[in-house]
Amino acid sequence: MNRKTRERLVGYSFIAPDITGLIIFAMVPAIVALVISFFSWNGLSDMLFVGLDNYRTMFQDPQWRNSIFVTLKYSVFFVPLNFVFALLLAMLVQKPGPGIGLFRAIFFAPTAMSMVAVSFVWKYMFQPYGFVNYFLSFFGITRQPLLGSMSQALYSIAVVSLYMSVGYYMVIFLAGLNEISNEYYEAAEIDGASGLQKFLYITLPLLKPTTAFVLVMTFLQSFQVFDQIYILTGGGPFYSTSTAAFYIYYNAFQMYQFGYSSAQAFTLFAILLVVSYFMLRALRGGNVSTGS
Amino acid sequence: MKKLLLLFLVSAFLVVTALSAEITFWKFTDTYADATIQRFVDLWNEENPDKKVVFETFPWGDYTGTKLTTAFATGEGPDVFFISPGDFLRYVNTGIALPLSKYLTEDIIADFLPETIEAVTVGGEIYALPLEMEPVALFYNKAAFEEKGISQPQDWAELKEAAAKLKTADRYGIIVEVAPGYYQNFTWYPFLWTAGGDVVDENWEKSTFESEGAIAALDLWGSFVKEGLAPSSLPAGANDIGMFGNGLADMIVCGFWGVKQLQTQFPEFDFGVFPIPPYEKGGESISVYGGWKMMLNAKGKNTDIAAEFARWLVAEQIDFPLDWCTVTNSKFSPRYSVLEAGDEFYNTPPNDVFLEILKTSKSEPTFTPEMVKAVSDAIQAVMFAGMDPKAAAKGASAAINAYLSRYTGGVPGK
Repeated sequence: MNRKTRERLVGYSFIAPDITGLIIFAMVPAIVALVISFFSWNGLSDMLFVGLDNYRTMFQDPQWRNSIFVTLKYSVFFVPLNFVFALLLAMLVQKPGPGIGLFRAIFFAPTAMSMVAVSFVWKYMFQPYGFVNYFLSFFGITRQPLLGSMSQALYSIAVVSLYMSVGYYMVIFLAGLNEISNEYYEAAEIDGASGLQKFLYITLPLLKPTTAFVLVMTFLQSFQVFDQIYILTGGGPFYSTSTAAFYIYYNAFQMYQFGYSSAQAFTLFAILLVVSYFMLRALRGGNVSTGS
Repeated sequence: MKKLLLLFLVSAFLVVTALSAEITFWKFTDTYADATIQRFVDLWNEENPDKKVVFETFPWGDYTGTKLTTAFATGEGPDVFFISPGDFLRYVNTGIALPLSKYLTEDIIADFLPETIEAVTVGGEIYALPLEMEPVALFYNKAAFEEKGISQPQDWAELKEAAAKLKTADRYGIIVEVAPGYYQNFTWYPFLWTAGGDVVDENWEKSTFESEGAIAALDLWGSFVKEGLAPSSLPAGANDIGMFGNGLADMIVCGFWGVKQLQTQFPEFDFGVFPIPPYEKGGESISVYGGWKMMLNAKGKNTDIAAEFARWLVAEQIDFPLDWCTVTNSKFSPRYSVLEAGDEFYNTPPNDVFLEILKTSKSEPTFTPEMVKAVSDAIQAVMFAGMDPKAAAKGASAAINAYLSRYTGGVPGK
């Protein structure tokens, strides 16, 4: 066996456990779910082959369309805000200084917490007499229904998601920012560039690979949001927070239509695959060392 | 010689293990009450070492969500399990529920209130053992009523008036369930029935939801939220009477289980109970009683032993049902003998109010998920989407009729 083959085998053996786990716990269930999507099954009785009926039903289901719309609404709100706050925080904590490590830890801490536990705490904070309304009252804002309003509940949930994820992406951006050589900024300063110009013409372009990663990951994350919705609103009020992922769960475990929910899950998977592909294509490039 | 002895012991162990049965008994976790069940399971295991029962509980969300369904889907369902009225029919229609009539003598059946047996009968066969009855009523803060000069509402208009008088900057007038699902429907049904409405006809042939009664009940609950008399979101399910004890509102629609919970968690709180007011003065007040039941797995390995255990626990002896209903919890037993044995408890205020309410209560319907969804959508639409109650009732009725036209399962009580 030559050295190259040996190295290759060692490499594969290191990733084998992860790949095995992915195959057993992700790929196989996904394939099984695809098969189930061609059947009508309530989880207890025998499965009945229905061909493409589940997919036909889905395209005619107004609540499925609503769930996609709700998911898009959530995504359009969450993804840009997460990007902006994470980048801002990364820029704030980038420069070393006394206590900066503490701030980095504070901003990152929510990422390490349980989403379920955090959601329960926020649920209390969002109550009519809860902390959020108390905080808003300092700005003269009267008591808001928040989770009890069709127009506010989804954005309230997005606030919880932002709280949990901004710290994680701050760290990603921090790594990206630290890769940008100071020489670019020094050269720009010599040419008289302002702070904003440096940000727009040096920082942002050279952060493109990191930006691509953050945008794609948060987009995928936003389309799979579930825990917060399950805890905070259960999809209500009146389906206003029933995202695609939640509606899939609802059809499986509350309506006991596993075939139908599997069809929805696969359709969501296809949507995410296509959109991620185009996002990555559009955002590719931004080599840090050449700036191209 | 030693080898022979060892071989003999191992074989004997294997034979004994094969002959002794193990029954799995599942329920949702209730850290306070489960100890009572465990005590009686231990008693059974002591007296029946070859018919061991293993009692296991799961968090509420798991048990009522994914646990039971995935267990049965993989053929690993428990032998005996707690089942809610909401899930009852699904397990019957799919053949999971073990028919129990052959295990129950006439004396045992006669000890149950007839309507409780009817609620678990489909196609002439009994499919679960009723364990408890928990009527729904209105709990109120006596001190707040006295302070505002409010007396027991005699109709819906007075109920709304009371809620409006009780509402302050710091608390609401009333709590009703606002989250969609079985519990919201369950606590809403008394208002529907009291106003003369219903969901379907007796034979489940057509929906009767498009009615003045349904419109009035939808309108009332919608107005509670729209007019700010009730909170539009809650920190927990409205079955958690702790919110009322903590002063979120001065009235709450809740069930009999709330009495014991309030007495335990808020022993100083002076609360009272009154029935759901009639729609108009002098009219009827009809409540609903829920209550979990014990169901057996028809595909279990030891159905006869499982049935023997379930029958012993729930239907033959008095000790467990009496403890469960009057000591551990505050619930009514569906059995005459247990009701008699608990007479003193049931006639102690405020339990006596529930005793009166029980006389005009109907069993929680065992509707299918599609029917539950149609009713739930109507309530949610009126509460939150500003839908006109008439339009909501019409939409729900159409959805139910569309479903019933293709429904081929059983009808409870028939």
